[in-house]
Amino acid sequence: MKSKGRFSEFKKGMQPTIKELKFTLKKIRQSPLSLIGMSLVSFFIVIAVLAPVLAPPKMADPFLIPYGEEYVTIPEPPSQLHPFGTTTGKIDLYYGCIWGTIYAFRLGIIVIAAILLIGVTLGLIAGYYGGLIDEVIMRFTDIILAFPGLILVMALIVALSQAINPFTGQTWTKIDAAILGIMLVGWPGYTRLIRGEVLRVKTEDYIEASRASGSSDLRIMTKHILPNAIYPIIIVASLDLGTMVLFAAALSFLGLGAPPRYADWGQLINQAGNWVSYGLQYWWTFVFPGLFITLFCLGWNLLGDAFRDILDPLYRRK
Amino acid sequence: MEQENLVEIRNLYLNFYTYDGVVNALDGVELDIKKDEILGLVGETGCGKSVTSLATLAMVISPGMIQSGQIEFDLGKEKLDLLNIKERDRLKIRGKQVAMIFQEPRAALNPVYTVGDQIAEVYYHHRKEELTKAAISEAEKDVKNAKGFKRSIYKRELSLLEKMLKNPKSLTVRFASKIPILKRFQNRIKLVVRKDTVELLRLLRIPDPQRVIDMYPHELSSGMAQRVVIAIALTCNPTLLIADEPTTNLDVTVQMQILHLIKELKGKLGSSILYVTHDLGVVAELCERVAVMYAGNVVEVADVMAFFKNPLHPYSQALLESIPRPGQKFVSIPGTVPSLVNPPIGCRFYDRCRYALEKCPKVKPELVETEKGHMVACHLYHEG
Amino acid sequence: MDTLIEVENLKKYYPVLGGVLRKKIADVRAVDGVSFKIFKGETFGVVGESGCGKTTLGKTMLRLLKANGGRIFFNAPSDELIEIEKMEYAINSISSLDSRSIVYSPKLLKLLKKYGLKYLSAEDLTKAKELEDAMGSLKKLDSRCIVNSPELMRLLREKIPARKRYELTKISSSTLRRIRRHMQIVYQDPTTSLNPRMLIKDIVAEPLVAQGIAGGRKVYELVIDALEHVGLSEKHLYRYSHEFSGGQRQRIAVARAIITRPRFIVLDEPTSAVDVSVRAQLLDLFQALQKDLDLTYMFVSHDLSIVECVSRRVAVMYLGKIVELAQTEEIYKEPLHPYAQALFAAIPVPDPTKKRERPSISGEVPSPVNPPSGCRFHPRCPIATEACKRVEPELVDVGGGHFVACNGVSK
Repeated sequence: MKSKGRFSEFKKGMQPTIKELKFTLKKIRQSPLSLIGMSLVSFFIVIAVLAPVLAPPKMADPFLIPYGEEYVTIPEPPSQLHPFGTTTGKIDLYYGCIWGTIYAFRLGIIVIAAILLIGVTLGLIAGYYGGLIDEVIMRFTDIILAFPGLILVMALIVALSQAINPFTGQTWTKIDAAILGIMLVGWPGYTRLIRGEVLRVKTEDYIEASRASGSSDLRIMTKHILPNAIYPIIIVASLDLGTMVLFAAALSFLGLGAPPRYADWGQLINQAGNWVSYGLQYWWTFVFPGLFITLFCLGWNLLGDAFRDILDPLYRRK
Repeated sequence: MEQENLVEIRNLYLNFYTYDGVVNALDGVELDIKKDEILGLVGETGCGKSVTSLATLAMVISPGMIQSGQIEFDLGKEKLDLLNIKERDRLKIRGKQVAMIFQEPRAALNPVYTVGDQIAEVYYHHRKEELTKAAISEAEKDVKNAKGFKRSIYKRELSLLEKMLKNPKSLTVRFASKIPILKRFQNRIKLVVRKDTVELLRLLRIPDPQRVIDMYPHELSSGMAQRVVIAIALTCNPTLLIADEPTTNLDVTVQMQILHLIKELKGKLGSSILYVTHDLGVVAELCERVAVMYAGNVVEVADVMAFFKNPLHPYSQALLESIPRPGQKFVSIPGTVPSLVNPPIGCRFYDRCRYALEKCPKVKPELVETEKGHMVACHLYHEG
Repeated sequence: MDTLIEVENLKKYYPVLGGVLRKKIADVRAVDGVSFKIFKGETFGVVGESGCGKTTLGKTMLRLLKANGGRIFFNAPSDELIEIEKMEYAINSISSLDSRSIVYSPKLLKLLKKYGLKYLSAEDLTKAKELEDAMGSLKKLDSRCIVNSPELMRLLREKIPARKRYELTKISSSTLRRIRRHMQIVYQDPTTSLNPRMLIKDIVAEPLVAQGIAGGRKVYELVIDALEHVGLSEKHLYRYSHEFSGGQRQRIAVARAIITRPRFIVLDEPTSAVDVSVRAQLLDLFQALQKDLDLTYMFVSHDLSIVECVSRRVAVMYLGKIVELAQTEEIYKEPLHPYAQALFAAIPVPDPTKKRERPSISGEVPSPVNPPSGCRFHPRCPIATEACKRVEPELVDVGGGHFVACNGVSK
């Protein structure tokens, strides 16, 4: 009896959320750009989910692109066996692009999640408590902000190349070091952003009402301030997701990212670097990975813009 | 005393096209604003009084749209049909013949401009010729009294001003207003404006107007800010002043001062005032006639004495009864305002009316005159 | 009559920062030495215009703002009684243990010892010990809560003093958080006082959850109970605040305020942001709740006519001080202080035969940063004398509980 009651309560509790979602979707449908963004992102999600089906892995590490027995340097054009063609070393571009999607998502999500965790927490605390805590945190943020990100990342990659990564038990790979670097310096923007929102929300009546109800600071921060301050963060985070992947691709292109033969778009472009000078003769080597990168970033950018349009006039619709 | 009508609103239908549907905000509103009177427009939130006042300014914006109706404005030499003239012509009237003041004074003032600048803006827009002429006469005086070098300067300023009067867009004028020394001739106009502004602020009983002119809106108290807003509205001596709940947010003593001020000003300037409010006390204190609106219709119009002594429409009666009196139970009107998305067919007050007749939900009552000057839209009063 | 709250010389200043180093250069003296008593069960009205400090007063009394001086005494139910109520709520939400078993709780033992109750027999103690061992595996209980017998609870209630006088400016923040359930506030604007991202159910339940008074199923029931008290119902639970009208939102705010059964509620202009037709309903609601739940109100408002109808006594504030305090009838009919006279004379009366000749007072309320010397009202006072510029009048009783602070009014 009780469990039944709980479930129906749950269902009822979800109803307003469902209504909100429906409304959000409707708004997305109304703006063509948002629709494109949404479709692109969904498209990539589908690819990521269906990767094992679309391109069955042949090696132990699914991110290692399978290659043929012979080492063929020259890229082969798209064919039935290799729908996107191959690049140096008979690397299957199709496989690379598909699994690259998962790679991109994984990278983007890990980085953004970490950055959000650090940035939002610090910003929340700084904005809520104000005074000395605020000053200390914000000065610290300023210091981090002053670091040249790219240089730090590159320095980290070099510095950690011999050290052991505590998470994987092996030496730091370049890309993991890069991820660490981005995590260390990517958060200050979010701190500032959410601090501003916190300052705005802090003065609202319902915060004081919550205090009058006996809430602890932590409760007020997490249950009241955070849900109301999070919107700009969501928008920037979705924009940043695209940017992160782009950044990682750039690193890979420079040789500072994923190892060769790895299913990473940037890495594929790296391989394509040799063939660009031939003009469009070997077009498939850079067009396909390039297209994937571009569309991925575009999708997230448009989605971020869509969020901005949808989330802000939450009150406008009333 | 038969007064002429300044504004005649007939059959005004207005809809709002919203997310929730088409809101039938005004449903055939009929209203007369007579010359030289203070008319109170009373009603609760959602009854359409604010929208009606905006419509009188032809200032209804999307998602609102006037469906049909007539608003006739008597300008003396001509009668304007406000809804059918071009926007350009409407701009000539707004601020000049008709002015409006709103509820929140500080929201009506631009925070980055001083009080003086904001009043000046209205002057420049509507009364440029007058100002230039006044500046010219000042300049002529100066030319007469000055000698030598100064005289030549003043002469030049005078000639520039005269050119400006004749053709403000002439190349000479435009050129001169950009050159650093030459453009001083504009200062004369600024001086005239400043003098007039000080007079205006003094009229509104703002203490120390010289200082206030250079203050920013946030430095003023609400009462002062509202007076500034009224000042802006009165710069051009409008024939009609529309006031949309201007004292609702003010302290009670300040409200009293402003109400008296409005009465005084009306006497001095001879304007009509349409005073929108929900406070019947203010109506009794200030207004000469009162019109009651409910759910998009005017339901009763009467002289203020007659209204309070003998309210005819059941809604008016209920409103008067709901005024809290000490020692008595609180009376409220049962039910709620009907949704205007799917408005009822007959009388819109039907479901809350204690005198409801069988006819009421089927036929919409018309606004009919029962006694001299007392009109009501209710089936109780026109059987047959 | 029982005094519920006593305020003594309360002060609340806001610092004005200026200069390059942002040092304090002046104070906004929002509340500057205010003393009065509120009796149990009454509605105490506080009126005044902008800048008088009435809202600050209400919030400072609840210690939502930190006072800069003075004392606030609140006769709240004693701490221990709060403990017992908490325990009772905890009991009802745990249904797997029956009402006869006793789980050992150090707090309970302390209480029993403190009030000299010897309830646990030896046998019971052994049982308690056994249960204590088993307690480790009972995840729902922690060492603070007890499952008890109704008899024990009754005994505790008898022995424990019902009320304790707390000095709100001096108690610790943890005690303050426990006392909060007995003093609540309803804000002026229901749109901003409810979190727009929270369901009604969570908004109303918050005081219970935040203070750990109740949990689980019990919360749900209490929320529905509170909603029904204010005229709403279960079907409103799973909605957001923007789906309701202003009047309904205010009711939700009231439900949130009464859910912990407080003794004292500050109503801060509760009807100002609401339609005129809805006001009467809200005022009715406040009166009904006052009777049902034995509440004491402090009704802060700038709307003098409403305050006249609801309050038993009224205090008029000007620039941070109370200038007159008396029974409602007396003060509205014959105010003694010149400011109060001007204030009440300025109320527009819905009777066109009673128009006023001229405004009852000129000028505006000066800024509370630099209040006039002596009697703060002297620059605008029609009967001000030289002495008024120097001497600040005290609030004295001029007979029958009618207090006035004016140099020109004598006993």
